[in-house]
Amino acid sequence: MEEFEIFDDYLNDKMTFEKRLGFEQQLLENPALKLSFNDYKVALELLRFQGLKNEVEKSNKEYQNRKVSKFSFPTIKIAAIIIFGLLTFSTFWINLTEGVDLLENVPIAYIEPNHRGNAEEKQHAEFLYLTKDYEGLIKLYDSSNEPTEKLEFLTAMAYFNEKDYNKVLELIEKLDLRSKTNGYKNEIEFYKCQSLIGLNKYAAAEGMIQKMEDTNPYKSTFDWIYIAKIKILAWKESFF
Amino acid sequence: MTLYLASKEKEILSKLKSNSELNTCLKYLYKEYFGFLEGMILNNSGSKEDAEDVIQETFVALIQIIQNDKFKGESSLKSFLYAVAKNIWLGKLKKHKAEYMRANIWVESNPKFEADIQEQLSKNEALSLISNVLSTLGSVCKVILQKFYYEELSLKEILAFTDFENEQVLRNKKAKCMKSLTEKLNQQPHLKDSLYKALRIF
Repeated sequence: MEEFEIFDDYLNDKMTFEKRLGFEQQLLENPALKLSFNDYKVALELLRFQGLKNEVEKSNKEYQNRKVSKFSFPTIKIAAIIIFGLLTFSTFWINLTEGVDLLENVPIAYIEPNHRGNAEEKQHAEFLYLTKDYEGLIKLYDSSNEPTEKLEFLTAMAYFNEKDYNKVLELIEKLDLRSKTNGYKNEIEFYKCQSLIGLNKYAAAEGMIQKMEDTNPYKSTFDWIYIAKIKILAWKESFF
Repeated sequence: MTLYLASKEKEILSKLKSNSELNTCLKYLYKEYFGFLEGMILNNSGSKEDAEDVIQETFVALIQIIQNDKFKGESSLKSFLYAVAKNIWLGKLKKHKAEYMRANIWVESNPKFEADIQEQLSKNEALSLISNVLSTLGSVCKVILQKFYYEELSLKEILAFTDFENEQVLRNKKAKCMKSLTEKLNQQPHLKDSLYKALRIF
């Protein structure tokens, strides 16, 4: 048995009582053995100290690494949540965006002034439009041999209220041909755009808004949400 | 919450005493006390690196004191750690006198356990001074001795980590390694003597 194994047995209490007494007697009588035993105890202390130190060092490294990753994790997490939230909201919003909303929430509408135009049908046409007798107004237009610009415009508005957008565009085409400086230029641009929306032609409607001059007061009534909705619908139109 | 912490602390102390699940205990100590001890060092002219070193030494000393049955639970673990860290940091500051003069905001700790702490820290200082002998051992010897004497694995278990044919060959190698270590210790008589004194080996 190696000397170190005897030391181990003594220190780990693995000796019988007699052997233990015998070993302690030897330690008293043999200074070389005592010195060797003491060196062994010192070596054990050193090994245990170093082992513990290594273990604490390892835990310290783990803790410091975790601290670093803990710091960066919420940043990534928050960014991911924001991006995910924005994507979800956008998708939700895009899906909810319908052309009907745009027509229901028209930012501005034409109001017939009391005095405008000088044709003979003026008073009758105005009366029919103001009393919302759109069918009567359309009949008046159909029976007129030479409809005035005013009658033609009010008829277009009557068709718009009746949601016959193809007819509106047809009449607007005619009004467009009359004169480049006609009195309903602003309204014509605006209702052309609205009629295109009514016909689900959002890309054309968007193009129409872009073509509108900045001096057109109707243009300024389109807020960014309205424009965004038209753009989204135009984008959806190109896909489906 | 306080009750939970108290019972958790008891559990940790008992595990440290029996030297079981040391890694789990250290994780707990780091999680619960690193910030507190770091703040203490930083408030006393220490850097983050100083704090890391002191805290490691504090945990080493705490585990040794608990395992030597010198921590009787008269104070909370937090107060005890505070006292150990204070002693370690003041010891380091004494070596740099100017900073030592500035470090005057320490809370007075319990003198009852001051002596035990000081004794353990003196032992650790002496052990640290001579610990370079371990680095002069071969890597195989280091593995065998660490696994046998620190991790307390049997020779049969250690065999799996080595290329030795059987336990007997490994036993012989372990004896040679231990002999080599004691010889290396004897080559540094002054450090060995101070270690003998610190460990009170006569």
